[in-house]
Amino acid sequence: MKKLLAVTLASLVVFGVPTQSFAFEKSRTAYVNEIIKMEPSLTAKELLKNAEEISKTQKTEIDAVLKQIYGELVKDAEKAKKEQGTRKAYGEGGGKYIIGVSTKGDIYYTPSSTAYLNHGHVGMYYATNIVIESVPKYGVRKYEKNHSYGVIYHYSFSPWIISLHISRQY
Amino acid sequence: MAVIYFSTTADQDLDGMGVSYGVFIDQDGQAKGLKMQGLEVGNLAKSKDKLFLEEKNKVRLLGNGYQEFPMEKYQHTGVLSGYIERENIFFSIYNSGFSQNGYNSDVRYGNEKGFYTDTIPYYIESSGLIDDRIYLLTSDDDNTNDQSKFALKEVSFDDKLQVKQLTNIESENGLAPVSPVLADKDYYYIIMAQYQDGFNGKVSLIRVNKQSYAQDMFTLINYKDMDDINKTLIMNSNRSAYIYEKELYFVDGLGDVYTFHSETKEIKKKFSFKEFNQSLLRYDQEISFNGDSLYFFRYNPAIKKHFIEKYELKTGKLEKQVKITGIPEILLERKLNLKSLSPYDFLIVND
Repeated sequence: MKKLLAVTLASLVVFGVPTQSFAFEKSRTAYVNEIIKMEPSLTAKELLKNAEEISKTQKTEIDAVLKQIYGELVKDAEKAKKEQGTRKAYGEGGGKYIIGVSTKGDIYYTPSSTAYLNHGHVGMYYATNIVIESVPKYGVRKYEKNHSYGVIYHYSFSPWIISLHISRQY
Repeated sequence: MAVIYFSTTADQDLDGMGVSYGVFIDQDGQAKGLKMQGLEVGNLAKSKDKLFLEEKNKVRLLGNGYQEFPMEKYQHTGVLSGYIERENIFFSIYNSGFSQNGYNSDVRYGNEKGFYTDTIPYYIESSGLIDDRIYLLTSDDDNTNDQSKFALKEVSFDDKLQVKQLTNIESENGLAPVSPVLADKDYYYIIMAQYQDGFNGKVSLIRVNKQSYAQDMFTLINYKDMDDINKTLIMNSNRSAYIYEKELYFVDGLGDVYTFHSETKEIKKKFSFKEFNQSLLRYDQEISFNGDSLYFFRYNPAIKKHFIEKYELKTGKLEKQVKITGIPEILLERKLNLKSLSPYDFLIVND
């Protein structure tokens, strides 16, 4: 399992040159606080440890990493807000999109609920139909995706969020 | 009367607020709910006079009396539940996740006198209860991440839980079980699907001779040039197939019912659900075979109503359609947009 995780993290954490520019620069503390506001189950210690690891791998400054993470979360939240409007319409009859089968190695991310939009459910396709998923508080499970379904946001999600969720379970 | 089991997914229990419901439907289509604490892919089981309900930290027996049995070890994902009449044992098997040495599928089993726990040290791809025997299809028994090897095993409870290897199953690359394990007098059966890409797929029936363990494979369905193969994904892996009067029935995700005749080996698309919505966006739906019929629980988004339909297996005729009232009000967390709930099991108690 550890080997699988290492490969996953390495392929996920691909930070290029940050493409978005912000109207103002924050201090490191400010970025940390903003990020934790958007990802409530995260501690400052966890965040800084992750950012440190990424900065080593990517050979960038920790502050640049934090800025990138913050930018991604803001983007995710904006897109999720847009989708949330359409999702409410499916409420009564439980309308959901099928997650389905995918290619081995693909990552998917389904947000857990409307309360915490980024508090998601992360998994990786282990075979065409089996995913490996973290189950918060319990561990990691294999799971058939043939017949299960959930909500998918049809936009690219923050790779950092995914690596965080996966690394948490080990 | 029918029972439908709804639950939140395992990840939604991070805040401890996962929830599940046993929804009881009477002959007039009125629904009543029993609130529980959640268990993804939870299952229902019945005996002559009792109904078995489960959740992450408890099992219950309803019917002739009411009993609750708190469970020390929490579970997050169900696999199969059932009742073994010969031994008066209700059992439930769970997908408990990776362990230090491999994988665990925990078991809870017992009756009105009490419940015990044990574990099956394998990942379960499919399972089935036939004539009071539990069969498992497992994969990756040796933990080498080889997805092409399957094994057929039998579980018994005698004085403690025993798992016996019956035979290995040779499969092609990329096959995935989409049915429970079934059996008749001479053979074991399992249906598997193969998805070539996002647009094509094949559903095959594997048959294993009970005496010689010789294997056959038959193609049930070929999906070609679909706009999205995920539309064909089945509704419930424990209830997608059934044997009735020498015919093996299989329901796919497009609402089509196929049969394989165990003697003539004839394969045909026998009938389809009326006005089935073949879409990636799925509303509440579940299927359940019972006696000589196939029941379909469904939601019509155009008129915002739930229904249960009864189809006769021999003719494919829609015999009965009952409008269900009360489900949106029971699933309160869904109504308030706090949690996402899905149906995971559907059982006909009497009809």
